[in-house]
Amino acid sequence: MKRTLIAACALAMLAGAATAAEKKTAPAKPEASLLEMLQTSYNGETNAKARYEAFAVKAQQEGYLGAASLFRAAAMSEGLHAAKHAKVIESLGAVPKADLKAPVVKTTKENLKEAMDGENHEAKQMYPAFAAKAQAEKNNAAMYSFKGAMAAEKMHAQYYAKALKDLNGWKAAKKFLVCQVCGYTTMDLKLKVCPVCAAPREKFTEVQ
Amino acid sequence: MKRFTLVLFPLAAAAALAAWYSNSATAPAGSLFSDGPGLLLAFGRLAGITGALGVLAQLLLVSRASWLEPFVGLDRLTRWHHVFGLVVPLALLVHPPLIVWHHALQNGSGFIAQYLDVLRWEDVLAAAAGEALILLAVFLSLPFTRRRLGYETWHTVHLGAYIGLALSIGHQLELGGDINAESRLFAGDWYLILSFVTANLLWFRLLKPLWLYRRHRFTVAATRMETDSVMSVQLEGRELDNFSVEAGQFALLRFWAPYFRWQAHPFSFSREPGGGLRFSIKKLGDFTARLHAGLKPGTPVILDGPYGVFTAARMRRRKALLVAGGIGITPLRALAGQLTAEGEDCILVYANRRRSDIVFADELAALEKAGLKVVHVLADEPGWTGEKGVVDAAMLARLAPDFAGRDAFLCGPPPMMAALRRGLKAAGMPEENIHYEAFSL
Repeated sequence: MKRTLIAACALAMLAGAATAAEKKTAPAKPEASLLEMLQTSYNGETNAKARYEAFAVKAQQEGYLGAASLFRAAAMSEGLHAAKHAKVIESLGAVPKADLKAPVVKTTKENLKEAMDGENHEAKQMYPAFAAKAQAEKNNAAMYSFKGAMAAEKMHAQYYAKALKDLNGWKAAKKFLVCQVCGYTTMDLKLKVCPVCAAPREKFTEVQ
Repeated sequence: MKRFTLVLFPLAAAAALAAWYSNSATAPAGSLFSDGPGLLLAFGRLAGITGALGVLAQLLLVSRASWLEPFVGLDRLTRWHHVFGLVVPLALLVHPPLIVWHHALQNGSGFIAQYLDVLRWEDVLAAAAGEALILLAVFLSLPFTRRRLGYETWHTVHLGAYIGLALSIGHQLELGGDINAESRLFAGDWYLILSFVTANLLWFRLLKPLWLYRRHRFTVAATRMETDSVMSVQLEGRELDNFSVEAGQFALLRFWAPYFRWQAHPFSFSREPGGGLRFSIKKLGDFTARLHAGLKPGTPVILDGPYGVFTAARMRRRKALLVAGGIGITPLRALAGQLTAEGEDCILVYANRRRSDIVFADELAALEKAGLKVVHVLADEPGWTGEKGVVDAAMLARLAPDFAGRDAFLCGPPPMMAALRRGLKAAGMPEENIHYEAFSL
C-alpha cells in the first residue's frame, strides 16, 4: 500500500509541476470523492496486511523475533482497518475493491524502512486529509475508520523507527496488543483502555 | 499548614480537569473537540470526572476535618453538602449515556445494544451498581422522600453511598489508565485525590473519636430533667483539662449502649467552659425519646468534637444580642454564661410557647443577677405580663435599641432564624454581625 501511495503522490507532484502552465487553462482535476478515498484506503490496507505478513516470515527467518512480532501485529491492525473501510464502503452501496500485489520482500532492515515510510505518509498526510473530508461530509463511520487507522499507523511508524535504530535489540521476542475495534497497536501491556477508541482491555488481542 | 491542606483538593481537582482537557485536545486520533461524536466522548468523560470529584468533595464536606471545619462550621458544611448533593448526581446521570452514545456512533450499533456491551466491560457493572447506590442515597435525601423515612432507614441508605464509591474505584482507576496511558500523571493525581479523601474520612470520622475516647474515657455521670421534655446529660472523664471547648460549640455523641451505639447525633454543650461537659437534649423523635427513657449513668460515650464556629471568637463588637427559640437555648446558655462572666454587655431574648417550656430558668435567673439581661417571650401563656407573641426584628429593636451595634447570635427553629436574619438585615444590621447555627445537622 505504502509504496503504491508514495509513488502515486510523487507522480502526481511531478505531473503537477510539469503541467503547471497547462493548469492555468485546463480545468482543475476534481477532488477525489469520499468513496474513492475509502477504496484507496481499503486497497492500501489490504496490500499492507499481505506485505507485513510476508515481512514477518522473513524477520523470523533472519532471527529478528521482535520485528516479526511487530510485523504480525501491524498486519493484524491493517486487516482490521481494511475490514472497517470495507464496512463503510458497503454502507455507501459500493463493493470494496483491492488490487492485491505480490509483496516484494527484501532484508528485514529494508523491509522496516519501507514500512516506516509508508506508515508515516499515511499517518501524516493521507489519513488526516481523508478524515477531514469525512468530517466535512458528516460521515461518522468513515471519519472513525480513517482516524482509527491514522492513530494506529502513527504507532506502527514509531515502532518501525525504534526497530531500525536498534535492530539487534529486536532479535528478542516482543509482545504487542492490538485493539480489535480500531487497530491501535501498543507495547504497553498494562494498558486498560484504548486511547483511540476507548475500547476496554478485553477488546485487545496479544500478539507475540 | 491548614491553608495548604485547604487548597490541596481544589488544586488536585483542577489538575485532573486540566489532564482531561489536554488529553481530549491531543487524543491520538485528533482533538475530541473537532467533531460531534468526539465531543460526546470528551464531555462524557468530563461528566464522569466531575461526578466522581463531586462525590469525593461531598465526602470531604462531611468529613469533619479540622483543617476545614473551623473556617465555616460543620452546620454550613452540611448545608453545602445538602445543596451540592442535588447537583453532583446530574453529572453522574449523564456520564453513562454520553459515553455509550459515542461508542454506538463509532461502532454503528444501537444505543441499547451498546449499553449492554459496555456493561460487560471490566469494572463497569460494579461502577453502575455503585452509581445506583449513590443515586438512591440522593433520592432518599430529597425533601419529599426524606419526610417519609425514619432517620435509621435514611442513615443506613446514606452510608450505602460509601459502598457505592468503593464499587466505582476500579472503574475510576481504569479511567486513569485511559486518560493518560503514557505519562500516568492523571493516574497519579487521581491516586492522590482518593488517598487524601480516604485518609480524612478514616481519621476524622472514625479514628479520631476513638482516640479521644481512649484518652478521656467520656462517661455519663448523671442525667437531670430540666423541663418535661428536656433532659440534661452530664459527662465525666479523665484529663478533661486537656479537652478544650468554646461556648457555643457542639459535639456528636454516640452513647455506647444497645440501640444508641449505631447513631451519632449532634448536641450543643450547654455550659460555658469550666462548667463541665453538659448536653441538654429535647425529646423530639424516637432516638431522643429512648434516650430520655433509657440512658443510664455509667454509659460510655464516644464524643466527636467539639465543632462549630458559633462562638464569641466570631464577635466583631463588644456587645451581644442572643436570641433563642425553644431548645435553641443550649449553645446560647453557654455563650451567655461566658460573656456574663467576662463582664460583656449581653442581652438574651428567649422565646418559648409556655413558661413551663423555659429551660435553665434558675441558671438564667442567677446569670441575670450577675449582669445578663434576660427577656422571656412567651407565645401562649395565660396571664403572662411579659413579652408576648413572636420574636421579630421590630421586637428586638424595641428590646435592644442599640441592636445594630451588637453581634447577634441566633439559634432556634429554622423559620424563626430565617425571618430574624431577614428582619435584622433590613433594619440595618450588617450581615457579618449576624451569627446563627442550624438547629440540627
